[in-house]
Amino acid sequence: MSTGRIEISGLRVGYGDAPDVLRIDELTVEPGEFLSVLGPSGCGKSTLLNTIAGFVSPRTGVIAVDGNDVTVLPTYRRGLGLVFQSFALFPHMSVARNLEYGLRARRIGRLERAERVEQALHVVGLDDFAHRMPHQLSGGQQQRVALARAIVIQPSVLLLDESLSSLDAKLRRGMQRELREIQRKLGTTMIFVTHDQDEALTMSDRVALLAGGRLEQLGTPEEVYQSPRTAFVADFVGAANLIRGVAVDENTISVGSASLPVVTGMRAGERVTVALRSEAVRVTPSQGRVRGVLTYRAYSGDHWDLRVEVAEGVYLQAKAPVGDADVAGLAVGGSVWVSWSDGDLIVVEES
Amino acid sequence: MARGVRPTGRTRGTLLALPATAFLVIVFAFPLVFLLILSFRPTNEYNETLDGFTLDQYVAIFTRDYMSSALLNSLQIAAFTTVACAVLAYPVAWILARSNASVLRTVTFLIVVSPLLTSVVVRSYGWRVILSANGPLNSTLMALGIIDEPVSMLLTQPVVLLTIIHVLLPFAIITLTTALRTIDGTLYRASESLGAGPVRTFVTVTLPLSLPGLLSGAMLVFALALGIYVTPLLVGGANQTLVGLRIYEQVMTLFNQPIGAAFSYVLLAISLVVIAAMTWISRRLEVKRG
Amino acid sequence: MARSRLRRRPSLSRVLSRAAAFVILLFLVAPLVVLIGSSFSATASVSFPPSGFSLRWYEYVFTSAQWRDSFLASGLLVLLVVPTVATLAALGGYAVVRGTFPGRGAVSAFLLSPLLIPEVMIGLGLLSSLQPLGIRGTVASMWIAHSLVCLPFAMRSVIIAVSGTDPRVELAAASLGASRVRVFLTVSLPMMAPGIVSGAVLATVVSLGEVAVSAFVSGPTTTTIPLRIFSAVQYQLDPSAAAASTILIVLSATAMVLLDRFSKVRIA
Repeated sequence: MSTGRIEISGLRVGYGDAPDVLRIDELTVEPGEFLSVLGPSGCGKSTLLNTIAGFVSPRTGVIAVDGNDVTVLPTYRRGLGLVFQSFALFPHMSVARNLEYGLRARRIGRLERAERVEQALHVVGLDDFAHRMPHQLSGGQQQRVALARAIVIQPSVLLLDESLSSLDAKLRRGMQRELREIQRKLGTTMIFVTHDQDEALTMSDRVALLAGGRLEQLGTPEEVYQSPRTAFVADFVGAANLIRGVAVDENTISVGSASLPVVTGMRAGERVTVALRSEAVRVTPSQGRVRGVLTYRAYSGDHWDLRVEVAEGVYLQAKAPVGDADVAGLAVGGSVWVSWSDGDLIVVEES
Repeated sequence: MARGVRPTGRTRGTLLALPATAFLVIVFAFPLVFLLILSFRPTNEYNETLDGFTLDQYVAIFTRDYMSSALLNSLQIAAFTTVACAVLAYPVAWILARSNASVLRTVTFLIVVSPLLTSVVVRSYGWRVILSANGPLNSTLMALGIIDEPVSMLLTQPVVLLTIIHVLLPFAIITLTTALRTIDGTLYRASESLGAGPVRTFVTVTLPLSLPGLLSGAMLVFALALGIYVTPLLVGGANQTLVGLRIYEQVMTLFNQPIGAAFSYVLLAISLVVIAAMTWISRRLEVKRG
Repeated sequence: MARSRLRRRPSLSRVLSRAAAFVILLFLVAPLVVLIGSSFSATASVSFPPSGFSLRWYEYVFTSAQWRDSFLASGLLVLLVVPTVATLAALGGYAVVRGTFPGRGAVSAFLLSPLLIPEVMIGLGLLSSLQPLGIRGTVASMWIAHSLVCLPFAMRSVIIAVSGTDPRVELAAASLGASRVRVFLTVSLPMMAPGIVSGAVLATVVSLGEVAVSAFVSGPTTTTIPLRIFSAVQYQLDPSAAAASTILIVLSATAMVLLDRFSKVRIA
């Protein structure tokens, strides 16, 4: 499919007391792309989705679908598909009737309706469920019906609002895979709102990070993870240590009363924030860049979580693989050495 | 040493329930039973109650035109009233159930509830003033050039129907509001996202899901409309062919209690049948939903 | 929540629906507004807009012996009916929610059933039963009639209130050694007090406005305000009934405002 491009420009959403609940200068979603909109609660991601869908009117800005300006169109004329967090299946209609709903609204004939409903049920793996009622279905099944109902109208864009949040962990992981497969097969553009960064990273072609109604960063999962632009992104996506201090010279910064050999390339006196991922921090009993005290160590099945105090009030989190023999022998309260590669240091902006 | 009987677990509360129950049995149940007996008593030409058992009163109700026409007419009026209240209730109940503007909701609520707090005579009197020859309705119509001279609106059937609707509408609005509140708001968004405009959404989502609540309100309105008499009397005069008025007249001016009693029971029977029918329909709808 | 303040453009159907609602609301409030307005008429004609502005009809109502008797009658009834109904509703409502006796559901339905019986029928039933006893037309018969009509309203109020309280508080009190009576008086009653109060207020409002049943059992000494308005509307032509009606509206509204104030007071 080469349709399903969404272009947003100059978007301002808000009201009297809070004029800038959402502020997006430019955002383009490519046809067939899986874009996750990620952020903490209250960051405006649901507002963004609701604005694209048409439930919320922006104060200014343009939303275009395949070149057509839909900003003033009511929801029922935008031709988008929506999957809700609470599924919102019509309780008084069977599964088949639920799926037919959008087709009837488009006045599609009985034969074609039956055909498309059958197809959609097959895509989500619920072939024999046509005559069940929603209250007879499990959470996962309702989820799939909600998806099928949105797919059956063959929209160019699908919007999903925290659709997997109400499923239990195992079911959720399964659905993530299935959803991605279905999306690839259909080629529909998908905009997927979530607060779960693991979900966003594993499923998406690109990730849009929102905080306080602003777009913090837009990029592929790798870009967002390896090269976070701001402290917020670094911390939100993957656990990161954020070291905030003043540069002493290019290779050292002072944090509080301590000096750390952190290479920043900054001039003396400049404030700087550096992100360092937990898995890039290595903890050894001897030898390293900085000496510290091990304050915490926990076994997590597939890795160790560690915490080292390298200076008064300055802690570094570390993640070590289970096979690391050094770590196994460490004792909490004991002296350890911490080291990292300069290449793992990421200078980030404060948002 | 025996202390007296203490209530066991299975009889807790009986003592507390006694006063109210006894009160109602004496003051409510007993008179109704007495009324039933009365309905089978014959009367002489002076409308005095005699001893004996007869079906004459019931027969008279269905054969004497004076009575049977009132029955038919009241049924018609009650049906119209119920349908009208159901339709008119929706726009107002929608505001009460779905609006986010708390000021609007509060004001609407006050306006809906205020008629219920004022005596029915007060409301009926107000309508008399509005509809009178020198009242605001006539003045407005004349000012708009629709009529040349004041029309006597009172004592006409349509006007009586209008005032009955006015009296019973708040009940319909309140029950419908409760029903609308139970509908998951996201369903409206889902419907819209699938391409359904406001009308289709109303017909396929709102209406079916609010129907049980609407029906329970309709039952109440129908039952009340069948026996209503104060308002029609004040706005339309005592001569109207309405059951409530006929009973009032038979009892208060003609002192014929047995026929009043029989008529009351016919009225009650019809109400109960309609209520039962509506309840049955409502149950069937619920079952489909699960 | 912030989200709910984000609006979207009003659609035609929404505008039409709102417009319809406003017309209906106007319809609902029209007779009250017109009546209150016409009560200030300076002349003896009942019209709206009123001809002139004067309080003479209020003066008339307050100084007239007949209206004074009606006010006393209505007032006396409220003083008799409300405590009666409040007590019966408090005991009965509590028993129906917390009780464990067999037939509890039937009793509950029975206590609320007067609402389903046509008022003509209740009136006629009382008339035919009280007349042979010779008490028709007395205060006693009106007391009975009003209590009967008001009880279901108060009962519903109490039932809702009791259903909303936690029975474990009562169990806790009992486990601390309090007798059944003591638990009821010191724990249950205070907890359902808001329900009793709102039931009492509802009873007041219903009693003040009761006319359909009262018409059957009242007599010359028990002509309440609504009953006098009832006959005045039919036989009299001056605005004194309008003034009396407005006073009645004010009394009922005051009761409701008090209820609103009181219901905000939490019983610890």
